[in-house]
Amino acid sequence: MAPQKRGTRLDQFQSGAKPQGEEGSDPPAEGGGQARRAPQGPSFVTVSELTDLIEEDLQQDERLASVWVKGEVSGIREYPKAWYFTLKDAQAQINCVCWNYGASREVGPSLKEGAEVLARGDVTVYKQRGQYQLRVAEVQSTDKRGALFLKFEQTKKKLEAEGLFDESKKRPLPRFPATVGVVTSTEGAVLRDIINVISRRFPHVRILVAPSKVQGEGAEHEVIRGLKALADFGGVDVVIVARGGGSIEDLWPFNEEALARAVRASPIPVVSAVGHQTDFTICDFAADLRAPTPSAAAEIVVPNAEDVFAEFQAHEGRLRRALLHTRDRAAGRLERLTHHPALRLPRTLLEARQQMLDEVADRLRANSRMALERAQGRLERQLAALDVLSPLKTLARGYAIALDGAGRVVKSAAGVAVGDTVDVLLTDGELGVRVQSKKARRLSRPDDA
Amino acid sequence: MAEKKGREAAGDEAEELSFEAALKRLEEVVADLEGGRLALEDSLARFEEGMRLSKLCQEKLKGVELKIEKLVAEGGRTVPRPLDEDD
Repeated sequence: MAPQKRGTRLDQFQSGAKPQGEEGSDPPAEGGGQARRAPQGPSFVTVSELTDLIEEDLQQDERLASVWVKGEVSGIREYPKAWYFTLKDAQAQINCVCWNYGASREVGPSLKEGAEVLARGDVTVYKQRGQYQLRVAEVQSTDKRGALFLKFEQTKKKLEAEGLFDESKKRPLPRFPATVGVVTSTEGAVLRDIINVISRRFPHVRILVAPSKVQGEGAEHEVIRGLKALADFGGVDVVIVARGGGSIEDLWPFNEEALARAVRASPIPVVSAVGHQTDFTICDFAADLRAPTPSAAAEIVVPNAEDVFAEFQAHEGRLRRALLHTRDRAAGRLERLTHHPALRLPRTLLEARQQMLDEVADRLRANSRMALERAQGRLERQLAALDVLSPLKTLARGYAIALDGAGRVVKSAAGVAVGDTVDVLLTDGELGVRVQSKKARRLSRPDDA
Repeated sequence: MAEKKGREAAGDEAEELSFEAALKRLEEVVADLEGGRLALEDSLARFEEGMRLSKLCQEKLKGVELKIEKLVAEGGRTVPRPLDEDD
C-alpha cells in the first residue's frame, strides 16, 4: 500500500479540520491519510484513515495537551484497569477515562459523583467508537475544602517520594526522659491533659513548654520556632507537638510542608499528637512517632513510675537470687569434692597406716620387753651356771687343775708321760709335780649342765 | 540536686554515670550474674555493684520532682519561666 497522495479532497479535509495545516509538509498528509480514487467517482479515505487523521490532529494541538477542564463529574464507572466518567457543564459534556496506573492511579478513587472539579488531561481518540475523550491524569476539587484535601495529598505524596516519612528515619524515644518539651498552645485543654498525665504517671521530669499558636494563618511558623527554641535550649530529650481536634482548616498548619521538614530536621525525637484519633496530618507522618491524642502522647513519652520502681526491685531480686545460686553452686561443688574418693582416700590411707604404726609400736614395745626379760633370765641362768662351773669354785671344793709344760690343761692321763713335769693349780697356789706313775681310771663328771 | 545526692551515695565509680547509663550497666550486671560463669568473689563484687546501681538509679529518679516551665523570650534570649497557673 504505497502512499499515493492525491491532493484535492484530502487537502480540503485538512484545511477544514485544521486551520493551520496549510503546509503540505504536515505529518497527517505525509504518513497517515492515503486518498484513493474509486474507478468512477471521487477520491476517498477509509474510516480508519480518517480517524487516524483526526487523532493525529488532536495530538498535534498543544491547546489540547495537558489541559485543565472544569466540569461536574457524573456517571462514574469503575473497571479493573480504568475509571470512566463524564465531565459536563450546562452546554456540553466529554467522556473521560482515568487509567488505574501511573500518576493517575489515585484519581479514580477520589472521584465523587456530582462534584465540580478541575481535571487535567490530554484529549485522545477512542477509535472503535469514534469518540474523543479526556484522558485524565489529575483531578482537583474546586471548592476550598476539596482544594485542601488535594493539597494534603500532594504534599504527602511529594514528601513521601523524598523519603521524609521513611521508617528508617524514625528515631527511638528515650526510655527515661529527664526533660520533655511540649510545643502547643498554653490555652485550652491540650497542655493541661499532657501535664496531668505526666504528673500522675511519672512526676520525675521537667516539662518545658514552647508556647505556640496552633491554629490560623502562619501558626506553623510558631510551631517551627517552638521546635527550634527547644532544640537550642538544650537538654530536652523528647518533644511533643500537640493540638486538639478540629476541622481540616483548623489543623491545616500541621499539614504545611515547612512544618513537616522542621519536624524531620529536629535534633530531638518528635511525637506528633494533632487532632483526634482519626485525624492524620503531614506532621504525623514526618514525626518519629504519631500519638492518637495529646494524652496518649504523654503516656508514650514517660514510663509509669510504679513500673519503673518495680523493675528495680525485680533487678535486685534477680541479683540476690543469682548470687545465692552462685554461692549454693560453689558450696555444692566443695561438698562433692570433699567427698570425692580422690580426697577421701589419702586420709583413709593415712589413718590406716597410723593404726598399723601404732600396732607395730605396741608389738615392738611388748616384744622388746619380753626379749629383754628373756635375755636377762638367760643371763642370770648362765651366770648361775658359770658360778657353778667356775674353776675357782671347783678348786675351792678341793679339785686341782693340771697344766702341762705348754700350759695346756691336762684332761687325760694319756696327755702326760711318766717323768713329765706338771703344774698343779690349787685354790691358793700351784705345785710343780713330777709324774711318777699312770693308771687308767674312769671318773664321772660332777656337773653335766 | 538529685544528681548530687546520687553521686555522694554511689562514690567515684558511678559519678560519671547518667541514669540511663547506670540502668544499662545494672542490666548488664544482672545478666552477668545470672549467666553463672563468674567466680564466687567476682559474683559478690558484681552483686554489690548491681545493688549500688539500683539504689543509685532510684535515688536519681526520686530526687527529681516534677517541674513545669515555659520558654519565654527575654532580652533576645529564650529563658525558662514557671508556667503560670492561669496559663
